[in-house]
Amino acid sequence: MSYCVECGVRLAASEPKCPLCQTPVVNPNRPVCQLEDTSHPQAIEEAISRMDRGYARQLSLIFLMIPILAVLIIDLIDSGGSWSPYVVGALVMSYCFFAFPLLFRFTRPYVYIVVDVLALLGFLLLIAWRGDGLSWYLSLVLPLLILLGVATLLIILVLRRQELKRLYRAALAMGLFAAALLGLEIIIDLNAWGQFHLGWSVYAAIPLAVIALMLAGLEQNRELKEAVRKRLFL
Amino acid sequence: MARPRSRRPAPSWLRLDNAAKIYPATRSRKWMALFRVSITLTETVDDTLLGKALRQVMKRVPLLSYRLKRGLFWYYFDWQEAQPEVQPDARNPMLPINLQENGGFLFRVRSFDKRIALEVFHALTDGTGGMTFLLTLAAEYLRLKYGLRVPEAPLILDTRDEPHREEWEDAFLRFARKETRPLGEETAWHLKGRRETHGYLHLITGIINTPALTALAKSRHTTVNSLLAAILLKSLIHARAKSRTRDKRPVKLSLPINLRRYYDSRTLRNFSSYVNVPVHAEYGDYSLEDLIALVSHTMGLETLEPLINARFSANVKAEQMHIIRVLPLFLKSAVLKMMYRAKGENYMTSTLSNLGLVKLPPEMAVYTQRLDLVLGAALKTPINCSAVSAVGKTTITFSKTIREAEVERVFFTTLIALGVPVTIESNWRE
Repeated sequence: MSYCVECGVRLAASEPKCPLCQTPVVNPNRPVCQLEDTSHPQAIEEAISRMDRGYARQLSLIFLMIPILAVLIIDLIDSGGSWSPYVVGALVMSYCFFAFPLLFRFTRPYVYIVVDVLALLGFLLLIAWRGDGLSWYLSLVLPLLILLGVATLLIILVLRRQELKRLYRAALAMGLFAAALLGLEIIIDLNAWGQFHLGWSVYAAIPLAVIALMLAGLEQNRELKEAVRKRLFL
Repeated sequence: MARPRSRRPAPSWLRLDNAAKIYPATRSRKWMALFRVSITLTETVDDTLLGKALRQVMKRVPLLSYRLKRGLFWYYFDWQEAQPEVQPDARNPMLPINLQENGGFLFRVRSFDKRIALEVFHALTDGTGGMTFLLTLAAEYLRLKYGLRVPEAPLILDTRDEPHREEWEDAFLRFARKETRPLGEETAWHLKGRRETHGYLHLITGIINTPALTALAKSRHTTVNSLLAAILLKSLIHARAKSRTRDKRPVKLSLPINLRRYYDSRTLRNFSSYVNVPVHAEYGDYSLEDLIALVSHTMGLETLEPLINARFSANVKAEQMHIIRVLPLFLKSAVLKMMYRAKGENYMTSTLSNLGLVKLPPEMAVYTQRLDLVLGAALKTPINCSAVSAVGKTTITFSKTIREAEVERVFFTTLIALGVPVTIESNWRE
């Protein structure tokens, strides 16, 4: 049995250094490699690493309910419920954006996007319904958000297709993004002038399409790909 | 057709006791209010026999068979017929129990080499109850292994007896009175440090000769508990001075009290309270004698039965408030968790839990090397200390989630300076 020269404590035969001051044990009769660690097992248990989703759900609901109740009470007392629907709608939309993913044990990007688009559509519908009519909502907001939602879903679908080669996936995603930009301009033009004339979106879509083609070409040409990788690796 | 008579020796469900109610609300994937008691025998433990002994003890102590369930307003214990398995021990003990993977059981029995360990969720029982489960299990194991019949002793139950309904009573409810005492007190200074790897509870154990420690306490005209508390306060004051904090909040040491000493109860569930001993370190230097006097006098005052009763009666009264009772469980849990953070942990710098001298029957003592008690560590109390004495050895274990070892270094070197040799072991390896 050894003693710590710093602390003066007697050290168990298993200790290679003093646990109190980290001074190594130097005992010529009992080198560190011969120590018998019998005081504790060698196996180290893994900590639970998953999130406590039940608690997160409860907490997020409480955080949502408190401002909703406060806003409703204040508005009912103050002005008979004229402005609280906007705040409540915004809070519910924020909940869908930030707290809804906590309901799932695994990542569900498609569900998140659908719910986010629906939440945004719902909130804007509320504004349109309580405001000056549904025309702008039906002609602009609805198609615009559906287009953006579908484009995002398709881009994520493409990016997650592991069986496709990486550069093909990037090329397809860029192509979809270019198409979405074209669709965006068409919807805006139709809403503004009743007809469309492609302008800015073409200037964005052409470089994207060229880059997409280059990436696809690069993926097909193994030698070129290797040469680029050799020069650009990090 | 007549229903077959249930062989269940205890009620099909139980309410959580008054002290237990906070623990399910405060548990998370990273933290759970656990404590651990272990016995080191003279020979390697046979896991098969230990499993048999455990099944036998489960019949005698039906409280172990309950699992935690969520009601609409409160958590409750639900009876289950399943049997637990003995699990291998780990270098990093007391990780939160995954209740689903653990068959719903609120405890786990682990073995390593000559050691049998019991890790228990505090919602089920306190240190005295945990030690009773462990020693009853060890006695049953020795009976199966050596044919030894250990007589019934204060912390050992006879497995041939029937379970008694008083063993699962909520003694807080039984002994609480109407008059209560405010629970608020001054918040404490908290120790900070570099955090250990997640999931690693660092244990540093000092093994001391009990007669030498008792003689030292006698020479200072105090008890072992007050002496250890005073030395720990000295160590915490040293750590506070070293941190160069400007925080003027007092260093506060929480000392649990076994209420079975005051009230005639056979309960194996939680039945303990605590006294927080504050020291305002900024007022000046305290000698060890000063600290012993401070601890002894504070304990002398605070452990008077009327004061203790008024303290736990306040908790019982809070539990029985209609507004609290009708809150849905998810809201109640959030409130309890916040209260625990704001009040429970905030009022203490560290805890010293001393189970005292456990007198083992001679038949059992010859097969026993030592007993250990380990507390968990929490966010604001990253170092806690526990002690238990048996078979001539006192084991003092620091359990911590920070890397600095200043508190325990000062603690053990003070004991050495006072003439008591200490042997140190640890579960930490680089």
